[in-house]
Amino acid sequence: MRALEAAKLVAHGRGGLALGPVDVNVLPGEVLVVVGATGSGKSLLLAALAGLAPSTVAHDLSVGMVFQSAALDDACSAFENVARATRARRVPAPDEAARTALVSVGLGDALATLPRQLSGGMRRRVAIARALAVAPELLLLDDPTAGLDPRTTREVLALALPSGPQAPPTVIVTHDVDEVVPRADRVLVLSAGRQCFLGAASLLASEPALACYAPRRGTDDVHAEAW
Amino acid sequence: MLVALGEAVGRRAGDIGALLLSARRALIAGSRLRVDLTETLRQTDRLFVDALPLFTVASVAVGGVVAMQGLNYVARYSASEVFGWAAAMSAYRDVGPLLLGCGLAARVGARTTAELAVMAARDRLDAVRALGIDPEPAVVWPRLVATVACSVLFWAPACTLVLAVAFVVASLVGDQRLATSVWSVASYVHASTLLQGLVRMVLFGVVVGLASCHAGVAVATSEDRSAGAIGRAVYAGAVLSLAGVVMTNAVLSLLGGTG
Repeated sequence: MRALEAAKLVAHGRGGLALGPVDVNVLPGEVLVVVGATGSGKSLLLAALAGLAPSTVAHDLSVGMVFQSAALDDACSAFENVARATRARRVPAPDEAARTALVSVGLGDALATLPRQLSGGMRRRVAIARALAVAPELLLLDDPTAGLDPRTTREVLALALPSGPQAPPTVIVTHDVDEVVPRADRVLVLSAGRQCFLGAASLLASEPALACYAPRRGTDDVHAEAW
Repeated sequence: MLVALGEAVGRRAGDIGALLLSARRALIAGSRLRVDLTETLRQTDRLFVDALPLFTVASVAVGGVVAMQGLNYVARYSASEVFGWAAAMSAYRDVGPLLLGCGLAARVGARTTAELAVMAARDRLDAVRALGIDPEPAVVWPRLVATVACSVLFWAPACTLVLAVAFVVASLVGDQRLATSVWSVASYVHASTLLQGLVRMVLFGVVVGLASCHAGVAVATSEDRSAGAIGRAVYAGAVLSLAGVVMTNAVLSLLGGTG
């Protein structure tokens, strides 16, 4: 597994939105959480890393991305949504890989179900299965817990954030500070397209201007919850 | 008002320019076009089944119109032996394809534009792109090819239905003998007439496919991704498709001396 190296990243989005320069270097197994006000360039950063927006990014890592809207094809079953990705990426035994991914996110019984028949949390899980099934070298998550209840939020995060050195570098954009930031190895705070903080989550509370991004729950609480 | 008119003309000119660029890209890609075959078949099936009721009803109605117009000339010139020929020309080459082209724009084209616009507005095209897949061969071209396939698939059955209804109505209303009408078709209608109608239909399919796909995908580059933007995309796609069908029909008629 390789690291994501995107130093001094500059990107341009719709509506004249500009981002950067921002340093986004993430090691394998590391989770970088990106927070900031609406319109600060968080989603543009992910779009740039995924190659969806004009930018200076030049990595060649294969990407798995979970969109805020899940971005599933409603005309195809959950299985077909994932299998299309595995086939397109030429994953060995693509259909089996898709099935395994859906089973691993707890949707083994919903393989033939259309996305519109699934709840918001289940749709998000299908999107996670699609992103993970292609064994990405870089995992990008755009507010994956938006609109979910606390229990589903924790389930989704547990599924979406693989751990260990074999896990890909992960960049996650969120507004859910309390649930997501405690799971971060590092936090990047953006403001009006500029990087205004990059460091450990524990340091956020000591910066008065950034205290609003400091979680009210600690990392220990999150790990204790897992047990 | 002049400013609004200028803006509208500018937008349509931009659409036509982008449409021509899409057509150029499609032509350049033609030799190495790798369209997702499964997706193309799926889209063709969906679009065909979806448009079947509209084409059936419209064919029956147009068959009635063709009969009444034909009977008018039959009565005026006492030419019952050419009624079948005239109705077949109208059904397979002139009115039939034009009707199908307009139906294609209204039903198949509008649906294609709406689907692609929603996909663009809700990040689904980006999701495909994020997987390293080019959305054009995977998502857009299958719909374009499916639209052309539908135009071909509908041509023979719909035009034959138009002709059959015209014959039945003419025999019921105007004492035009069915056998005479059929004999007229067999005697006077040549394969080239049918081929001209089929070519016209294929061109209408290409025009509707390009216009509807372009209008849908254009939402991806737009600042506005609201429901209103999707509605405007469907409207623009329908206008472009219908205008394209009418203009193509006019050009073909001028070139072929028909229509």
